[in-house]
Amino acid sequence: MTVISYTLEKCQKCMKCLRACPTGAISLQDSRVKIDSEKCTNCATCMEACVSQGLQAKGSTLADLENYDYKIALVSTAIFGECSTLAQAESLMMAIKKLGFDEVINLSSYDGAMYEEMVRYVGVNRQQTTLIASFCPAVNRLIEVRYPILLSNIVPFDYIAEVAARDIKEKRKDLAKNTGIFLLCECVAKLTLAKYPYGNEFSSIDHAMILADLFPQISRNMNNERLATTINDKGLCNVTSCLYERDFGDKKVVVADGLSKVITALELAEFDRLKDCDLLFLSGCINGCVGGNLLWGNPFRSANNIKHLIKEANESVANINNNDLYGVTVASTFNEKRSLQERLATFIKINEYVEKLPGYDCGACGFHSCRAMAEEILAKRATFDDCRILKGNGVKNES
Amino acid sequence: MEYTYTIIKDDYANAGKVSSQIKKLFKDLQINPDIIRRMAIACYEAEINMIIHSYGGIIKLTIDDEVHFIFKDSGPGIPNIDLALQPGYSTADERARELGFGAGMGLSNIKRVSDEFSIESCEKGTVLTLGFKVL
Repeated sequence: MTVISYTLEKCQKCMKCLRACPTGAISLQDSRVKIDSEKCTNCATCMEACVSQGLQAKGSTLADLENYDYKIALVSTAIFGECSTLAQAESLMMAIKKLGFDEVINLSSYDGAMYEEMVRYVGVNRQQTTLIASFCPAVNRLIEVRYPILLSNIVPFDYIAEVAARDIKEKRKDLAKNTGIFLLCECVAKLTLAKYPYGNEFSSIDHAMILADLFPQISRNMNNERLATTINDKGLCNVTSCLYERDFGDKKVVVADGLSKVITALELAEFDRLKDCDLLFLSGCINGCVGGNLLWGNPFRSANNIKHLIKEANESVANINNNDLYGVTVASTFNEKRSLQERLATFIKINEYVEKLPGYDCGACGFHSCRAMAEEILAKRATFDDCRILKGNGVKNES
Repeated sequence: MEYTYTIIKDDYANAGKVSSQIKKLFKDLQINPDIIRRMAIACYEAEINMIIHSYGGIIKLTIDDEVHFIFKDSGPGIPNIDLALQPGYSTADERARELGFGAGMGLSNIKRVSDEFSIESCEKGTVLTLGFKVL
């Protein structure tokens, strides 16, 4: 499932999204971009590649606040990348409250609890293979789609926003008849998660909003007024990849941030080449969640801000039962019914077609690679005539 | 179906590329991920062994009801196979170790993850044959 929506009128059909997608989830069919939700990881690479805003993420809006008596804003810890002092953070939180919320809670103490538990988990669960720590839903989906071999290596934590929303909903249940929990997200993957919970049957988050969309109002609301805020230092470590190693002591932690580095690390992990390290920390965005693609700042400035802010941070984490931090694990679902011989026959046929195609992976046919095109030809959903290069050469030869 | 790949002595820059290709091929064939994992590890270790220790050679991959690998090099051979199979025993040179290879786990790892394992070696070369059940 994805929250990335497509606007036909804006699309220039440049095929940049199609070639950028790390899982080949995008194709162009009947002159429309189609995202295959089975393959989509919500990493938003396509949105970044899009030149005409034809692909955009849509979150809830402030109008949705009206449906609730008591409105709680859950703010992702990553937003503190915009602040280098506690004073700035406090006025930012006040500006968010003025959007119309009754209460503003930042997730840093929950992030902190998760971080503490991760340190403990790695201490007691040293295994034959590398553990993968990922709070990044996009990376977890990427592993599911492209590296199912590594699914069992993921530490089975639930997502922080989900844990926090559950906890807060329980604690505030007597406060009002109708309490609404709004998650203010830093990335598309987390926005999607609130709408289509991963592993969990339903989400405790009522609405998810895009932080960057709220920026104009937040910026107008900013003044000297402050909202008393505590920021947890471990929580900040959890969202900033350069600080992630801090509390792991002599444990070997390898950090990979940004999707291309993550893919390199996963390729190595599949060969067991990272078994010397205890924990592999992966984040789809550059510099960790502080580099989230729905924040307005830039990931390098954000990581730097956090390094200053952490000096003013508090050490007490959220008081939450450790068991509540764990979530549903997704196991690899292998249910290939065809015999190896049948699969081989298909494979050989596809290879034959691939040989005939030019191999440029240009995307002009509407599929992300010549191989994908070959599969479509085999399924009789496309023909060799759909290849613009082959067709072009044919015309030239005749003239 | 049969594929042959060439491995060149001391070609560290391309170490693992053939194994990556083979791994991708298995994924395209939609083989069970747990089996791919074992085959990928074995293939990678054996490829690295050829780069570090041998004068170069070929990898032959056969897929029918089972998957078979033949790693064949042109020498100098393994003087004592029993010793080479012991975990931690390594004859890798300084350069290989600096690059993170040659921990002495290669052959024992390969034996651990494969369903069939046989190795023959003389001065003229080593032949390592591996078999995997894929169903």
